[in-house]
Amino acid sequence: MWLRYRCRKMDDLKRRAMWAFRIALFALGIGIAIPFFNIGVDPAVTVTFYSIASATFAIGVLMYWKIKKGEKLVRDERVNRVAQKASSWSWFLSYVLITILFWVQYLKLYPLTVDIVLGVMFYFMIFSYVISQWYINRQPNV
Amino acid sequence: MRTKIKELRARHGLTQDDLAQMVGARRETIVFLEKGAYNPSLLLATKVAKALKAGVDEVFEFDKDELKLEKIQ
Repeated sequence: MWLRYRCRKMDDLKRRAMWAFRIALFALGIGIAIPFFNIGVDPAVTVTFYSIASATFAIGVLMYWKIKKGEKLVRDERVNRVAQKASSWSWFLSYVLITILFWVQYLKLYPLTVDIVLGVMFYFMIFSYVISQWYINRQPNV
Repeated sequence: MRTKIKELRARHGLTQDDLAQMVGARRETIVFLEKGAYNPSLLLATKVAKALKAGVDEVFEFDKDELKLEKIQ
């Protein structure tokens, strides 16, 4: 029982990477299928599926890169600390971006639409988290 | 903070991967621990010491300044 749990735990990263690729492929498939079969759904839905596919694919690549480096475990206490800090940084950076977008709109520097703001926030929150995680992970004494 | 993990690990013929598996941590965490670039939790420090058959204070060494206590008023 213990050994089985141990083996399952050690395979975690590989299993998760495979699931990330499967989900990315599935989302991409739906994204391609919607306009192909001309169901009549809003184009924003297709874009959403492409976004899900690209985000999960990026996560899968990151996991696969860690496996190549010899990592087996997904999480330990250091990873949890890094994740907590990265979340805080990402939240703060998103807050700063929202403030900037507010002033851009208020001063009429660029005609912002709801679609633009949501699109920018969607990608920014993901990438700011990934970049923060990468940066904090390289720092000593997290 | 300095550690004797590398030295003790070599003495017991353990690789970083072996030690990581024994204490349930990632190999990367062991690398940071060996460099003295990560302050582990009390639980992880105790597990590492136990895996290396040594005391916690033997594995992890601090400078006198780091262990200096503040005077209470």
